Amino acid sequence: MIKKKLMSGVLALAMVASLIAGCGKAGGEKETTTAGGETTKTEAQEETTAAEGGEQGDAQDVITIEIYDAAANFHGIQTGWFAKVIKDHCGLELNIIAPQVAGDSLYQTRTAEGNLGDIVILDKGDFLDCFNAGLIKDISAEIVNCPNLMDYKLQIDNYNKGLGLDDGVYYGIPAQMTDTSPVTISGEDVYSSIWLRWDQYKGIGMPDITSLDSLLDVLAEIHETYPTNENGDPAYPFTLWADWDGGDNMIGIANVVQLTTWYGEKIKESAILKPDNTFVPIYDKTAGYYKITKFLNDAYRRGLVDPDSGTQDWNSVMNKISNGQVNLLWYSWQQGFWNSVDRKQDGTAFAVIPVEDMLYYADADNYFGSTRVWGVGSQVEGEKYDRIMKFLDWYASPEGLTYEHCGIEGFTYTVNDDGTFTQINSNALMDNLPVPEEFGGGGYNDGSNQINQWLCEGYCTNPNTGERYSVSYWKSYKEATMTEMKKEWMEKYDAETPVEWMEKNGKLLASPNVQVPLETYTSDLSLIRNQVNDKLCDYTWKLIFVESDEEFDAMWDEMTETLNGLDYQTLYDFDTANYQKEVDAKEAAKAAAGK
Amino acid sequence: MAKKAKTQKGSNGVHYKMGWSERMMMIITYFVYSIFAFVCFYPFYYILINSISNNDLSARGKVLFIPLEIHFNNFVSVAKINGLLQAATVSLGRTVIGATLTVITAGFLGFMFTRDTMWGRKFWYRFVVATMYFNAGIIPWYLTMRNLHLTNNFWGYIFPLVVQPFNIILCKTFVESTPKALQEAAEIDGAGTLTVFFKVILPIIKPILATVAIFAAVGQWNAFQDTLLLVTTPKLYTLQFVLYQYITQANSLKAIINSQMSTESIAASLAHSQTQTSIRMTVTIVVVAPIMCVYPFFQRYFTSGIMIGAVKG
Amino acid sequence: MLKNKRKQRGIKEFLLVLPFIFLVALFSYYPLYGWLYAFYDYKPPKTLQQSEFVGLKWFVTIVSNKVKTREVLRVLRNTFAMSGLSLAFSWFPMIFAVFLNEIKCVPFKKFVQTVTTLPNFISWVLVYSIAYSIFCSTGAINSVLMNAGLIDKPIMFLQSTKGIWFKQWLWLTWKNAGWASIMYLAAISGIDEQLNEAARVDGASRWQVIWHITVPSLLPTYFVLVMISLANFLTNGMEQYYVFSNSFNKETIEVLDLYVYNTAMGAGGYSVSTAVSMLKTFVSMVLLFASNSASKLIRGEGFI
Repeated sequence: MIKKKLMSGVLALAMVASLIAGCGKAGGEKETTTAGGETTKTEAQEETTAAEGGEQGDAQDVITIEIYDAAANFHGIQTGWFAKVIKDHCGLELNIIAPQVAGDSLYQTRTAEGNLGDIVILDKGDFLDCFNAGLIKDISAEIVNCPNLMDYKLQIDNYNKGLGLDDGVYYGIPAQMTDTSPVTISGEDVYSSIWLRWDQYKGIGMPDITSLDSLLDVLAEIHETYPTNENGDPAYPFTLWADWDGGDNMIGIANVVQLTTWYGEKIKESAILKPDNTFVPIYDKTAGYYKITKFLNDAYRRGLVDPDSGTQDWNSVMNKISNGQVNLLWYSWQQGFWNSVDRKQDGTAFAVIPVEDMLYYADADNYFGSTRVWGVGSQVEGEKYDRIMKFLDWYASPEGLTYEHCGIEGFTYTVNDDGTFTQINSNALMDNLPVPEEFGGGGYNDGSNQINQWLCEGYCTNPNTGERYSVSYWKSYKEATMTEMKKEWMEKYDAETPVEWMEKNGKLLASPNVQVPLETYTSDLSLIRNQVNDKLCDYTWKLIFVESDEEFDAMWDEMTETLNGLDYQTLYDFDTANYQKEVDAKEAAKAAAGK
Repeated sequence: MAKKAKTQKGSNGVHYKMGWSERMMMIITYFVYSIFAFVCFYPFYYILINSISNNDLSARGKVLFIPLEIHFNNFVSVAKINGLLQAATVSLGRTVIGATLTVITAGFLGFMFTRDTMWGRKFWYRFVVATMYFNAGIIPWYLTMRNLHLTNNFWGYIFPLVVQPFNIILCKTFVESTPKALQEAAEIDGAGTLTVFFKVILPIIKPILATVAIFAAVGQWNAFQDTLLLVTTPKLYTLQFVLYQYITQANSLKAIINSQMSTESIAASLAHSQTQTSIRMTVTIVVVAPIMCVYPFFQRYFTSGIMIGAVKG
Repeated sequence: MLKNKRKQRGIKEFLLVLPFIFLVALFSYYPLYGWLYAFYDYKPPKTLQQSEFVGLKWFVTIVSNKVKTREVLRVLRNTFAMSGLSLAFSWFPMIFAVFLNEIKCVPFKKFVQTVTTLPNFISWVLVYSIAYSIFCSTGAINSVLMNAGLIDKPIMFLQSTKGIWFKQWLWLTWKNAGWASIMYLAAISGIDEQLNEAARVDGASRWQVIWHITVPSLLPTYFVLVMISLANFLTNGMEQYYVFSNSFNKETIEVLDLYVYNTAMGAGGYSVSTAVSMLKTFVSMVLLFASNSASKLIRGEGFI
């Protein structure tokens, strides 16, 4: 009996509940307060409540702001030591909205609502669209009162003029600006080049590599000499993966498009930009995409390609690299999965091996900013707005940059007598070391900056130390990391770094940094792009695994025909026109730098 | 307990004629089900042993049958996730409340749609069933939820999922299979519609309600897409959402690489931490374990044959 | 008088259902204004008002030239193959439940019942990574075959297209059969125990009980489920095919849902996805009512 009453009670509740929901706005309002507690907090009202702030005694009230952050890999409230830094310095709590976690739909729903976030960090194409749609706030009046941002006035001016704005009108701040120059290359190595295990290269007698063919010979010899790692697992020079195909504004498979830079050719979506600044279609048989695909096919036919290449994902490749099953790397960052301090010491680490006939394409420092832009949401007003501008200025200040790039004084670095820094606890990030309570507690990695995007890059010079912010440029760090292997390398190639070698030998094609707002694809073009990219990738993968030259060329022709059937030409015309603007700007920048 | 006893009596008390074909059938049945059970169980076992084995060995594919170098760091780091307990509470809340409402609704509507007397019964049934086959798109759905103030609101997890056509169809089919005479007898005694439902129908449709309960509860327990789009307040994060974040963060290497902060050290940190697959495996165990603990309790609704005659009498 | 009372009762019953109808209208029908997006060139962050009206453009764009038409026909072929296989074997969970019910060893039965639902909870991404570790060139299967001397080169299971539809069906069945059988187990529990006992007393064999009592009692549920999946003929879901697809097998594995995802992903594809979803709804409705009419003709009763 009781059971039945209970049942009918619940049933009644269900009905009532459904009615409440049905009553729409009025009913819903009540629901929000009763069920969600302070859930309306995030709405775009001016609010200065903060429960936790009170405990700090005289600390100012903390405002929670939403950052729509295209760079973040973390969705939620920033915690740990960096949260404390932001709270203490700017009175803010960061609620990070990360489309990389949540997907495209978040962008669709939030723009449909007309409120992306209080701070927005977007790819520049999307930023342009949002600016045109009125979602970005005019920050002209306040930005001029931000002394640290105004240190980068030239760069910020450059970007906003690109939006077609008048002098002194500001909407966006480009991300990752530097204080070097638009033609400087501060990095020690280029994004893509040949990395071989130093011990293996020595093991086969350090033959000079003159071309892709002689590279294959060397790799074949390495493969023969070292067919497995120490545990007996099979090792290959080439291990490919498909996860990133079509990304980074380049159609085609990632393992090919990045390698065209070895011969000074840079892929811009569907077009290939040759070193002489002309564009050719991606399927052009005289251009880099063909050359590299052929190269990989040759490698396959010589048995140098991991048979699982077509089916594995990046995670498997990552495991293979850290397990010593890969003999050749071609991205500079991949070394991080193998090159430990110990391995550098005993000479078993990867190092850049120059190839004589290559002309390495490299992007210069992001003087005018990277591909992302910061802005403020158009609905932000009042106290919240003040604090956001204060935060942005702080974020570009030496103090802010030191926190962002160097960490916590006394925990990740110490100050030397001459004012420069020395790294301590270098494994803080790696091992997620516990941070002392006074700095906010928690793990160091857990509490690290989850915005994952800087206003100013680590190449910038810290006025307090006279050194760059990035650890790898500190004198103390360089001294600490000098190894026998590095000395050998320097002796053999008569240069300190790969970039220096390239510059000395005229093998570096530096592309100056410019900031040109590029148009995004229309719906039509984006459909074409997806289809063309899909087909191109499918064909390329098959091409790598064909058995004869005839088959290769026949399939290539078939691919060309299919791509054209998918309106490739329309896409190509749009891309070349779009990127011509960038090419022109780069030419102008080069000319200006030359003077 | 009593039910179990009855089942056993049912199986042992009355004997079949066990001819050779029956014997063959039983042998084949046991054999086939053993194989199928193994095929279903092994991958899960594989996940379990890999989640507690040395991550390095696991990544190299060395853990196949027995766990190697057992450790529980993977589970410890899951346990350390911020706000895990809070999220688990929210998940439990939405599972219990959401599933309860869905079950009652499915049972009730399933019954109502068998009532010939109901005004416009066929039309309304089709009205509900048709919704299975369309999807308005994410933008209007989101704007609707927002206008109803169901964003950043616990009830946003519940209300849209109360009426689930598929479950209603299941219940309706089940109700139809029960003898009409039962309802008619009650109605002659003067019972109203609701009384018929609670007194006559509810007791005999328990097995299908248990099924719906499992489906609805698992659906609620596993949902995270709605949290992703509707919720920005950490207070309302669900367990699945928090775990989803945890997996995604492990998967975001590429973006980190693009951000230039000493790539070497970041890559190294990722190389040394757990692999993404080990995290996925751990999370799978964490999510499935509670379900597996609860599921057997529902199974008893399936094992006992119903004595409809007894209800009638 | 009696008729009036009946009518009154009908209205009363309708009022009991009304709140739920209201919920359905609110959460499922009201947002349908979003179908308008299919007729506009919508791309966020613009609003619908700011977008250009393009009429039926997105409905025809996917077949606007020879190559594209060929592509659509290809993915439809794959879709038909996968859905057809699923339909052809849709009796599997039912038979699974029937014979599971025949197992009299209760612990074994419970064990089977529990573990066969486990695959349902393993995400497709994880399923693939397990599949990869078993079937890759250095995986368990290839190692065994190589050691046994049966092959001298690893077999690339995951990129071969041999019997790929059947293989995908196997994966799907492995993942879903145990879970789907729950519905049939419930239906079996609903069978009047008296019928079984009467049959046993009459000396019926197991086969006879299964054939004349159990299976017929399950048929209504079976037919309803078949009809539901028939109406979903064009919908295979994309996750499974997404994780298993690679450039070598895409030709045969890409089903409609995956094709739409691959083509319309990114911000620009919202309108196209909406258009395709509308077309699919239309097809589903036609199939649903056609099969309902067919059922009325053949079995004398429809389901909806």
